Amino acid sequence: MADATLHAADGHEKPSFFVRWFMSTNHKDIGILYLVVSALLGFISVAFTVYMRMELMEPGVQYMCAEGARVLSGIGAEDCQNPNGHLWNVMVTAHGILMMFFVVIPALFGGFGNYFMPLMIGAPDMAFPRLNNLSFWLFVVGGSLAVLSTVVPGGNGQLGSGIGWVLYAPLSTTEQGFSTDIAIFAVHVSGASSILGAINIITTFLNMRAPGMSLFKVPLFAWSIFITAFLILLALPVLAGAITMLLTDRNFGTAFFDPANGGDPVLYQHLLWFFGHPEVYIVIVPGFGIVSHVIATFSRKPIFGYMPMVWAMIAIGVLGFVVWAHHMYTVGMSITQQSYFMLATMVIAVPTGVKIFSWIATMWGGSVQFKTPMLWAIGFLFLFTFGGVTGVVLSQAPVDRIYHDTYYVVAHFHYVMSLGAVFCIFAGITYWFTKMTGREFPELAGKIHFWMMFIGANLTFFPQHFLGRQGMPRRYIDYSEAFAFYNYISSIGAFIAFASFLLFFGIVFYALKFGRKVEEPMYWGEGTDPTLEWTLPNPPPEHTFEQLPTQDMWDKQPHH
Amino acid sequence: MADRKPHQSGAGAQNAAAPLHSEIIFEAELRPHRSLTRGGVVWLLGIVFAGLLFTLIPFLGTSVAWVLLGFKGATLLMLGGFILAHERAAVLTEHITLCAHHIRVDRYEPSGRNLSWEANPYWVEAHLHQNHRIEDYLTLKGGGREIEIGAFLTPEARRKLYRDVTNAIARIR
Repeated sequence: MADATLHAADGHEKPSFFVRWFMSTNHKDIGILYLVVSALLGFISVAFTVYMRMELMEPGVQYMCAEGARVLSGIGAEDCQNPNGHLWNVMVTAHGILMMFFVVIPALFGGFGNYFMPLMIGAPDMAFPRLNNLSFWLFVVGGSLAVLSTVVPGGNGQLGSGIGWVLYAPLSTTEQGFSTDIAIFAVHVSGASSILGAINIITTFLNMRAPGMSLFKVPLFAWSIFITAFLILLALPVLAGAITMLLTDRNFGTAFFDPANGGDPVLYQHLLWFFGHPEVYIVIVPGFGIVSHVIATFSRKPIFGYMPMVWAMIAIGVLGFVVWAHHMYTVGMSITQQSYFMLATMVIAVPTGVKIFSWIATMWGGSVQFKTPMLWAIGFLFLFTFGGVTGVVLSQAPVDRIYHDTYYVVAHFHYVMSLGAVFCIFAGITYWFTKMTGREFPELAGKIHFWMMFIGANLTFFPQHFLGRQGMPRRYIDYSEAFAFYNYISSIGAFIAFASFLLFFGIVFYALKFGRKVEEPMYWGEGTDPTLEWTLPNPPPEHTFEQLPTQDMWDKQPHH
Repeated sequence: MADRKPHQSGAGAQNAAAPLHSEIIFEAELRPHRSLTRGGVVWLLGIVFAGLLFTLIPFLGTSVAWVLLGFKGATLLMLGGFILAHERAAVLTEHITLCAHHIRVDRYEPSGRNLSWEANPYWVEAHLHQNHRIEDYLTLKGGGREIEIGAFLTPEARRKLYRDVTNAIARIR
């Protein structure tokens, strides 16, 4: 019989550094690993964008010269003899691939999802801890391949592939060298990582909830992660199919996308965007979950309308699958097709609006504290709404006829992603930093970081609406003199935002080394949204909830 | 507190034990908590199947369908495989049977290992231990050994089990 002493002593010793961090099966450690690696890759991607904004600061090409790219020597310099458009395209591609596959989703879904979803449902770990570790290391491999692809032989007889993060055929199928193949592998590996992670999340969420925690009592962040996992499961296989067809077109003589041999490049676009649109919801939905908890905590009120919030996220997820061709209004679809996608896209504004109004209603009549996480959440609320409404503008096919491939589109998606999802990441970091590390996140420094990023990012992307309306095309290394003014402002904003990012790293290192240790588990005070992570010490011990939590620990609803 | 060697029975715990002549006074089957029912698994796989099928249909008859089928099929198989593996791990069961002259606990583990313990219920004591890593750690002492039961349950469920077992034993005495 399993004798009584079997559980008496916690026999296993502390794992060594290598085992703990390289062979982890602990969801909290893996969450931290995701956050750290995504921050590193984010830094690389942002560095590329700073270089790009340096180039775009003035008309003419001063930095990306074919005779030798300049960095600091380009400041105030004469135009290049020969501009290197390929280098520009490589920068654009790398920035897009890194951000879309290796930064925001790993930070939100892999980082916070792994760390906090099991805690919120009272599970001792993920359903498959070793699979979790595999997902993380596949992500690292994918990210490494993506960075590698920029420095190996590629198109135009140079290094790197300049095909855009969407990898459109026929450019991607004809780009020379093997850089594009490596980029495609990077995306494949990232997709495998995401699919395995999604399976893990779905199994954990459905099968390991604490007793009494029925589906509609699960906290909103856990729901958001679950819905995101579902989106990943349904969208990523199609991407895998599409990029496999790119690989076979490039290397094995198939002609899926080659019109000369019976294929169709627009087919690639349909497949890519069938994945691509749910992808942007995969980016933002975990952010919705974080914002719900932050706003509830700092309004000292439970979230307004829990059920509509859950159903709105589900609706956004489902609807996100039927609107993909609003990215393709100019490829030659019939008016009927365009009309359908236009109407379907407008419908998504409804559940999104439900969420925005619910967050506002949560604050209404609450005792609002403008602590750092709340600043990020309110900033998100306002700026995501703003980006969302320019999305509704773009959803109008005749309007998009003019705006497609202009800076108006660039402005729109950077508002919802850079000022939306990234704000959610910072909200999550400042909200949960002390829980994860046991150290205080300095409030004043956090606020300075927020305002620098807010001003910088807005200064970067707001003028880009005007540039788009004036007709400036995207993905161009140079532009006509008429666009000079707003490009200059946009670049200044980018430098301020980059400085804020450096400040952020400084704050994190300072807090980790010298931050005041905080013992109080519920360190935001009594109004904290009563989810299970607030019952745990800072940081939580290696093993949590090996004892199933009881319903009174998490069920704070007045009646059930 | 007890001997440290688990007592392993042979393959199948239904080997020659004391034949249960008397009627069963108390019986309980304990399993670890799983929040998804069997029906829920069917729903989940059905919804994922429908979702994956949705984009396959337009491509049926083209070569694209084969590529998509490969990845979608692999995804569905992996999801199904992992969910069912997780369900199988919940197969751990402890079966308690109490008759007038015999108490028996059988433990069936997912690995296939089956353990059993039996004793004369008259002399058996149930204990709830505090100051243990597991809250309200429940053991049965008798037959020369002390075994744990219900370590994977909630503390509430263990306390209820303790009351039920103690009352049942008291009825025998």
